[in-house]
Amino acid sequence: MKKIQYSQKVIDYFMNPKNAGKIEDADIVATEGSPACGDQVTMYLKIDNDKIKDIKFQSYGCASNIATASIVTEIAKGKTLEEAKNINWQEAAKELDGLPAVKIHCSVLAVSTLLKAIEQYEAKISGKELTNTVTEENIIKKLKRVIYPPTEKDVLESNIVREFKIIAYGKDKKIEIFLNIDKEDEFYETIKEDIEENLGELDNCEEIIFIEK
Amino acid sequence: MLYFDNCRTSFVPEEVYKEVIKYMEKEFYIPASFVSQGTSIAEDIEKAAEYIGKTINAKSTETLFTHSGTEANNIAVQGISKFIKNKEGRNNIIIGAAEHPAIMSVAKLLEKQGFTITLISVDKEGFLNLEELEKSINEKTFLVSTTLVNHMAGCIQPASEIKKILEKHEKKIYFNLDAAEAYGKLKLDVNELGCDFLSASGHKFHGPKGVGFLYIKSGIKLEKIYGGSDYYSDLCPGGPNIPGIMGMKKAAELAYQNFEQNYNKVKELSQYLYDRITKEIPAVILNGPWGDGKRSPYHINFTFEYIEGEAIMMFLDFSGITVSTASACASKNLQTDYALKAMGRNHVESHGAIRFTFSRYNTKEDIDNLMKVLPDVIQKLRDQSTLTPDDLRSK
Repeated sequence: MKKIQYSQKVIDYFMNPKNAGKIEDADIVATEGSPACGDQVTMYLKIDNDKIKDIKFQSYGCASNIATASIVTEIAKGKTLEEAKNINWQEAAKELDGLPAVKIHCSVLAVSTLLKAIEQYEAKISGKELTNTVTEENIIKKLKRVIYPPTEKDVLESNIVREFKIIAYGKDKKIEIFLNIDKEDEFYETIKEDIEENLGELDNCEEIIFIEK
Repeated sequence: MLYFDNCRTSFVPEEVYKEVIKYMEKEFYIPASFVSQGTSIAEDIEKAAEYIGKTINAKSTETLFTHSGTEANNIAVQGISKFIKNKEGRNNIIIGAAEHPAIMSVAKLLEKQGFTITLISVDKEGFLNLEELEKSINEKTFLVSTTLVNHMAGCIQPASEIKKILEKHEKKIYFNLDAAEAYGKLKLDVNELGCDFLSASGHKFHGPKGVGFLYIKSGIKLEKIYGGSDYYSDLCPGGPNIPGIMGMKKAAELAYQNFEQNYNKVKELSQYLYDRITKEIPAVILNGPWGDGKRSPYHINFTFEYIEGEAIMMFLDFSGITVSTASACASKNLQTDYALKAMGRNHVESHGAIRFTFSRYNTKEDIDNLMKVLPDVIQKLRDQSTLTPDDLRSK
């Protein structure tokens, strides 16, 4: 029987999170996740000279959601933006002495929130508009956030998504996702919902079509 | 430890485990032959069936011991389904949309074997829509199955009204009740309930795990779902869990010893927790109905808005308090609870649902100790949440 247990470090960061709260005069605020899916993180960053001078978070979510958001803010604090861009979910999970497989997505969400904040900040400074449209690169970026718990890897690496196609549909695009997961798989519905949530964030994504195995 | 998860499982008191040990250590035989030990064990099992039968107004011959409540449901639901389909070809089963997995998953299993399953909607308090039930019955319907006390809403389904609907039909429609959260807590009389089958599980009323029982109304034939040697019964073959059965009998005796007194005590506790939560914690939603006869007093379920249930449950757990949650984050496959969804709760309301379930061993002091912690936990999580409106945050 599989054991689902939090490490002592997750428990500590959940019970007494560092950097919880809001920065009123933050330079950038970014939110990722959705309450419907049960987890959402907002990060507030104060940036000085391309360095993260202060960072705080708010979290709607489970114990590991709070703990991972907290540890990511701790790792990021004091780093330059370039350094912070290299933080990944594996590092955050390792800092917490590991996460149960079904909770890895929390670590992914926390890191994604930080990266989104940095991306938005850089766009704001450079005056460049952020493009969040349906492109191959953006789809891969989004799919890399969807974790298949049994392999503890994302759906591309786990070959749960065999391939995808972008179908032009006027100005908007449809995305065909070729699945490689049994309908009987206990994570079948969760994976589909997670893919829909992530790809749905792309601005001109009209529809996501799943092509079953 | 403060324990408020008695509808998931309950502790085994000394009187019960001493009985279990007795049937492991000394009376370890099985009722298999003319050997004197076997005969005496057979008599003890018969007495246990008589006792448990009597608690629900059934005969000993109508009481079958099983290895769990889930197994009891399977023997009844699969057994009657296969028997009727073979004999008459009827293949439609009606269940509620918010049933316990012990019923929901058996129905899904049968669906793959050629049965059709009709899901009846429930209202926001978890009660079956009886009009819809009546309209859904067709010439193929042979079984209606529901959870007497709903595991999420605590509502008590109106069994005798369901029975009246079923009796209007010329062809017999069987009625199965999963009473796992009702037995030993509410007065049950199979004649008043009007059921053909009723199942319960030992560990939900301070008995051991790995044992349950099934009431099967006299004269009903079931297809066997297992093969195996019938020392005890051909419907539940193999070596019976005798220590479990005898422990469960003891647990039933304890439950029925001061039944009214226990019921009233738990009702008071339940009202006390309800009053304190609604007075001391803002933005809460009761899941399920309130009021005598509508809800089991052993069961309270509240949604704490703007925060997520697994975090509440874990915070309480690390503070030495056990409760349970319907949140997707606490489930094995990260899916939102279908029972609360069926009651019209949205995702966020379901994620924030916490279930407190009592036993006669809980005290007012337990609730006072819970309430020393709970409001602060809720406030702390709300202060950290992305969703909390400003007026609910600490100043």
